[in-house]
Amino acid sequence: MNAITGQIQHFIEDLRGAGISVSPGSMEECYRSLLLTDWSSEVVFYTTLFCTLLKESAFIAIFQEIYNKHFHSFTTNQPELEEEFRRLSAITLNIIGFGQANSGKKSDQEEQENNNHQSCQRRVDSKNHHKDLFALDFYTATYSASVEDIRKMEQLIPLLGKRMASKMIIKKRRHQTGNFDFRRTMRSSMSTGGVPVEIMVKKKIREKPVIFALCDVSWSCLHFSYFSLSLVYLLEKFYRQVRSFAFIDETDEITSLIKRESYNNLRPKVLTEANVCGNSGYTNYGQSLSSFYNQYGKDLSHKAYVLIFGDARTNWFATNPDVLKDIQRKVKRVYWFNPEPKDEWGSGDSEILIYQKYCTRVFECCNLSQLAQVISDIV
Amino acid sequence: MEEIKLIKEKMYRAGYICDDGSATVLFLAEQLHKPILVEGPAGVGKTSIAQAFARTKELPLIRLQCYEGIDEARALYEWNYKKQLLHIQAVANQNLDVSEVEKEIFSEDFLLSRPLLQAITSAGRTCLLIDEIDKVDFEFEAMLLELLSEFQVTLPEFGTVQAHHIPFVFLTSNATRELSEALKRRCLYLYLDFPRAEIEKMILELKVPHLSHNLSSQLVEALHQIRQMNLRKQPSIAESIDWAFSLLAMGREDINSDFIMETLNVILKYQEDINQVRTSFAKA
Repeated sequence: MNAITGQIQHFIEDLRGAGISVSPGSMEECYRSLLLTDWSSEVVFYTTLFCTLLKESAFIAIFQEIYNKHFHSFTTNQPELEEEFRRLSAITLNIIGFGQANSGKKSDQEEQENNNHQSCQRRVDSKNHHKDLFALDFYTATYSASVEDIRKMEQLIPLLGKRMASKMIIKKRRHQTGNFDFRRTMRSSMSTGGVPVEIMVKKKIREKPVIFALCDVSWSCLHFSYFSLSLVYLLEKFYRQVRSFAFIDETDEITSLIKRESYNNLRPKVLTEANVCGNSGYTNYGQSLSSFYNQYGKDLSHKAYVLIFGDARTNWFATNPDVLKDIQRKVKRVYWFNPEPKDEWGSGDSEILIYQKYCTRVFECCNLSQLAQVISDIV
Repeated sequence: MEEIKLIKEKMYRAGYICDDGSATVLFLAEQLHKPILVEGPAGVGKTSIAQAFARTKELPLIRLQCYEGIDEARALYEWNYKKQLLHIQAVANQNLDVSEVEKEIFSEDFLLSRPLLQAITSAGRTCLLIDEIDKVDFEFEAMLLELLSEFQVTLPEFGTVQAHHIPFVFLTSNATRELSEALKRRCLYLYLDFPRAEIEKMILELKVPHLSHNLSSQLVEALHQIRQMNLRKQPSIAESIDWAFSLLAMGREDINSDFIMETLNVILKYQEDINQVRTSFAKA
């Protein structure tokens, strides 16, 4: 394999490593397109790679970064590379192993098999250290991934919101038709001589939910609170009545703050402007819950959905489950979103199993794809 | 590169300003006979790129506007059952063979072609624009897949209809949901973003004759400043063109913050956005 095809190959593997799926077909198409275009303009070269390999706008920033890494010095030695690429193009298409152009040649068969084997091996390898942002768990993202990764993950959140919105619309339309409306059907059949040509149905009236979102913004939930706050920010856009709260050992309403700020600097703002620290400054679920209930409990009604985002690690403070029980009795649903993997629930100071009794459902949400799944389940 | 320059020139004459990137994608789509999937924010010219391309090729543009719940009867074909009924009544007392009549009423005369069928059966080559593909259901997407890869459809009563000419296909999407891998794989991907300042200036000057250089650069500068803000909906190109027209209609020679304050509702469609821009301009 020569220098330039090797480089493109590595480029594609890096794309795959970052979670962009590049099918063998797209790869072949990319090579064919490179043969058709003139590389003297970097825009043309870049676009050729872009339009054949990438199919999803959420990954544009990632694509650009990987591109810069591989082809940054591209323009300097471009003519020779292009020449080399053209000369070896036939072999190139063969190396991919999926090209139709050379599939009939017998002499190449052995080499091709060998290459196929290699590319398979490589695919297995790349799967092993696959860094799919949707599957990257929040914990690792905060402590071991780079700041750029977190930024990129945050960029995916609006996408999540868009999908959520379209799902809500579909669901709303599907559920609009209700029971048969006898009176209106009979009435409309008058105009067709008593033959009920048009069947009338009653429209269902959906109750508009009131959402109360509580986010743990303490240090232990650092990794998760970025995403829970962004999520609350999204909820704000889709539901008429959303009230949001943040807590560490004291609960404070942050609804107006969320309305005002952009989602990517929410956390620092919440920490500086909201009154979330009580006496100790350590996470205290019991105290936070009762602080919430005492201040805002009167606003809870049968239309309310309470969403709690946190790991339920209580620092051995009193859990105060009765407050949650009272909340649950007053509202329609209580959902708890826990960023810890299920097998760690109940270990150490995690009291999620106690709180679980008073929740409608508790969801494990370690990464973006689980979060997306949960959202589509409950929307 | 000659071909790409040529495409840009032709697109310019058709009233669309194309950068090197978009021209490259158009060129590749033509060479590889591939559909183009166009994504980008609302109002950056996803639909107009298809329209302009059809004009440069002098091909009829067939447009299918997708919506949630669109089905084959709306997109592909439908039997004209009223005409069939009339025909049956007309031949009722002629003692014809039943199978004869059946054959007759399921012939091409009784077929209503919808956009997709039109695009592949028309005598010449066509340009097919499938707008807002992300709105359709998965079943419809699967049907489309067959059409876009084979360029043929099978009508149960009729047989297989093969495309005479492979149409140029554009699909636009607002990314409200993820399209299936299979569909994406069949397309080239073109992402249109808000244009750079100099390109937007060219667009304004092309679309709004009589607009002076000075004014257009001032407008574009203000627009880019506004797009920097965190708005609910960014002003699109269509809105910036409207803005330029209103500037001319008001007989302004120059734009200042007063003009911007008065006419914000031309480019911004949410009260909260208008308020935000107002306060930030008032500060400046």
